[in-house]
Amino acid sequence: MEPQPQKSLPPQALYRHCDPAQLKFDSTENIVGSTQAPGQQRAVEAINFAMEMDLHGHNAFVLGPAGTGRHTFVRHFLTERASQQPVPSDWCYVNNFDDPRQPKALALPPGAAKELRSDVEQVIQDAQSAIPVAFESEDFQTRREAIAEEFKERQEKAFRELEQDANEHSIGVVQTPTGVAFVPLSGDEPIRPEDFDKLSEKKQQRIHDDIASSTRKLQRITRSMPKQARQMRQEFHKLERDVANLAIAGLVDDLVEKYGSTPAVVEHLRSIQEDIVENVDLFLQQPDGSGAMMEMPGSTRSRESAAMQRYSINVLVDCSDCDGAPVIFEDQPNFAELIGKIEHQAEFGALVTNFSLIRNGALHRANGGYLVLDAAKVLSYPAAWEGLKLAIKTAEIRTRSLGDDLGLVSTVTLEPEPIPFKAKVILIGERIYYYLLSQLDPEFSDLFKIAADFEDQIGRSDENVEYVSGLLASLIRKEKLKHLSRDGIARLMEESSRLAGDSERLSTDIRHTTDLLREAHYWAGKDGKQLIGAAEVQQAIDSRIRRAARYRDRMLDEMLRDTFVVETSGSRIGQVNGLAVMQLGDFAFARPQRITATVTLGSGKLVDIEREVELGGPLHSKGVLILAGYLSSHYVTDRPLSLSASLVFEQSYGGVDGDSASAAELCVLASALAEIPIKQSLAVTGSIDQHGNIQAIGGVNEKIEGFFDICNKRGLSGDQGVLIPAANVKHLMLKRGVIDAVERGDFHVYSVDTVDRCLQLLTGLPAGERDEQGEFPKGSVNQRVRARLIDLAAKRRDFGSQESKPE
Amino acid sequence: MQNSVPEIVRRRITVILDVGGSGKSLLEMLPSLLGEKGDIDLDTVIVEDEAQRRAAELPFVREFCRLTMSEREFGVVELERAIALREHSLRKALAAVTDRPGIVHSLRSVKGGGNLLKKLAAASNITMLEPLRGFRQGLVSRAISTAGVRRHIVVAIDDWSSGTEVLMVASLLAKGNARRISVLLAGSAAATGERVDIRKVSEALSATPAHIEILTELGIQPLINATLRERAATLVLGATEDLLKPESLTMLREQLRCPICLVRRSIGQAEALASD
Repeated sequence: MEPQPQKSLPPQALYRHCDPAQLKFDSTENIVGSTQAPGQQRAVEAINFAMEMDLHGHNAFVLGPAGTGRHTFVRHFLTERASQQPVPSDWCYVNNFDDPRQPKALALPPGAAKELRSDVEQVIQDAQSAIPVAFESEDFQTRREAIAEEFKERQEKAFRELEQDANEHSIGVVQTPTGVAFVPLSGDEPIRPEDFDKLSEKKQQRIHDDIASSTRKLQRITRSMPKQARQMRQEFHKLERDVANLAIAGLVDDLVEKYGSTPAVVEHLRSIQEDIVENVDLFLQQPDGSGAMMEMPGSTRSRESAAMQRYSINVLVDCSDCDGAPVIFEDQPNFAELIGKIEHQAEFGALVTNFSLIRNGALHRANGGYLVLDAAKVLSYPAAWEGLKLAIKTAEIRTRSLGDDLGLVSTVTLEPEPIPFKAKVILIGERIYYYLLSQLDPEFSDLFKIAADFEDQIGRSDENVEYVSGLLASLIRKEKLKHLSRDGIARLMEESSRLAGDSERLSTDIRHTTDLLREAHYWAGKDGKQLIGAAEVQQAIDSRIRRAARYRDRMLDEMLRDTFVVETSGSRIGQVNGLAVMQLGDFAFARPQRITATVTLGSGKLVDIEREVELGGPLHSKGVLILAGYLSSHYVTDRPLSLSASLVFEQSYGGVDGDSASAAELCVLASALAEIPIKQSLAVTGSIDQHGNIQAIGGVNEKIEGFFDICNKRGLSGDQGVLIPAANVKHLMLKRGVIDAVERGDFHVYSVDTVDRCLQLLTGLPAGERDEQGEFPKGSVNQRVRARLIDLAAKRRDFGSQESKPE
Repeated sequence: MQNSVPEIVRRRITVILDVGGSGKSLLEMLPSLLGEKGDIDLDTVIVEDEAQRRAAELPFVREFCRLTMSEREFGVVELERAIALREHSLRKALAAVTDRPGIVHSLRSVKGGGNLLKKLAAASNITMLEPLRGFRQGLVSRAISTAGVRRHIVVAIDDWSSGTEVLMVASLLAKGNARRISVLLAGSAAATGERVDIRKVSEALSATPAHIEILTELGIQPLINATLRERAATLVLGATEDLLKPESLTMLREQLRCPICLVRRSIGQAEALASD
């Protein structure tokens, strides 16, 4: 009984051409450039929604595969939007004179921060001249000396009275090397010791008493001196303050008037004025060049620079050149680049810092606008993600050092006043990051409420072809490349479909397409072409494949040398050609894979060797397990499955996953059971369900081409071909060589929808359908499989009864 | 006119220090006077007051310390030790100041009063006197900061025969140090007339800003009062006969708070005075 011949797919089913004649333009020169992301309406709406929602947490995560133009689109979208929005405030940090560890943050109108810095510098410069002049003035010196003189007079008067009082009691005051002494006098001279001894005891006692009395008076005077000295210093200080205030007030008043509309600035200017008055020494040159420096680090600096730094304005964000809200793309979103940092400088071996060493981060720069970050990078830098979340959650930027945060640096640092944060944050990343964050980070969903999901494929409609062409035109103009001719565009669209793995769709991997375009530009230039045509695009494709295909070609060589055994002719029982796709970097190719099966009497166990040695993935194991279900339900519903079968991917030394070989595995198992040879000129791909239906698989183009390549190398015989699931026919975008071979009838691609059709093609025998009695036609593959299974069941029964007989 | 020490073949500078003083201000002034060339005999004398020794011999006398304002033992042993320490520290300080060829330098301690001062001053071209750090000065000065107080040199001239030399010495001392010089004209210097004097002063002091005042009262006490009133950092004056009297020198030393620099016109005059 001969099976009816099955028709292979016609060449036109293997490739969907893009007809250049259908394009509405001659070349990209005639196309208006576009930066829109074609076919991404869903994502665009989401981003738009996120940006318009002025509520906390409505930040966006733009997810999708790399190369789909997410960055380009987001940049264009935000730049356009931001230009219509107001320029945000400038921000700066200033010294907090009450607590230098907590610098104050000041917000100013756009562009005013730099001006304030310049104005304050000018005031300090002026003060450095004005204050010394005031302190050197005759008036100041006179008043200062008058204060000192008054104190001296007061003291001298007290001492004079003491001396007179002592003299009245014949007690004199004698200077000693380190002080003074009270001595009894004889006339104007101190009494001689021998004369003193001659005095009566009473007189001597009186002298002792008088000396003691004078000493007590002296002690009283000297005890009062520190208090008086303090009063004098206070008077000095008050005088200095008054003079300094007079010198500085006029300078500061001008600024207060200028910045009167910003109360925080006015308050700070007054603080500067008060601090200068309190620390006027900073502006005075000591006669001996010495003088206590302020607590500001930097004692190696000059007095002038110390003063300049103490009162300087650390401009953190300057929006003077902004035309709208800022759009910041931070390419290196580590903790410091995001949150800002507090730098330290070495001073005599110690690390010190101050408010002027606070540096801004991307959050500061994006404040009032938009911050775009790569999710993978943010997650890869230590503490960056936590820092970002904290800023969004608290709506504040708290600049700090990561080292301090982690307790790694033990030195004095700052706690700058937090800056209010209001900006939209847009994370861009692969889908996996979005799903992992959603699953693992409870805060993520609160902070990034909007997901903008970029499609990785779009329909191959005329409209989308036009959009993609517009994108290419923009790129060509931007990078000054040669324009694409009509057929060049068409070829790129076809390649895009191939990349999508679907003849009805286009890939949104713009990066791949633009890379091809750049390479085609190179080839066109080399050939002296004005436009990039299909030939140059094809040359770019072929070059890329050639560069990437070293491993594939090496494997092909080894197959030709029979190191890897792949038979492409003849027939064999229990052996079929499967196809496995390998992805190496950007390049995917398929390797024909011998799958063999053996069957013996057993208890219905299918041994998947790949799984047993842990080379098979879960999907592959699932496919094998489905086989057992199919065998039982399709062949021997009335008997136990009494076989022991093993399946193996021969010469497979790596992991195998996916269920695309399950159809091949079922066929080879049937071959082994029915002892019917399988044509080695055919290869099979497809997964099966428990009812024997063939289901779609991935990488169909690579699989067909993989088998074609080895057959082609060996010489096409005319009966070689590949069986693919019918559901995959729409995905076919095969290379020219395969199509040509099919056109010539040298190679075939068969679409199959059931296992029976596979068996029929592979064995050349009818698969056989059950008749009304439930029996398969005699001689059919299915009948022989069933017969074998019944036989195995009977043998198992007999074997079991023999074993159970009593001896 | 150049600010230089007058060309004298060999000059003699005497520094008269008190046992209780630090001598710091005098030692700071010395380099200006010693210059970079010329032969100089530098005689440093620590004058020990007789009253001091007598007080030290009284067993019950106690010293009231200027620094700590506390009482402590004061006897001959303490006095001798203090003098020895003073000599030691001065010798070290002077070694640094006199470290150039042409300077012959001596240091000694001498007991004596006004007559001793007269004898020493009369034998020198320049005599530098340290004010006594007496009872009042010692304690008062401790409580008053001098920071920010300008350095002010007061020059007293009562005879133009030595006036030019006095001004030149003052000018040397003022170099890079003083903010202002006040010139007090008295005696014949005042009598010769303001017109001439001002010209001479201006020539002598070159660029240093000067303030000129004519003293109407003559004598040592008006000069002391005027110096105190001017709050002088240094007093420079000509060694006239009146000044070289023992009581005048004692008054200057006891009543002034600043170092005193006596400038003698010529060595001949000094020898004549010394033989009195």
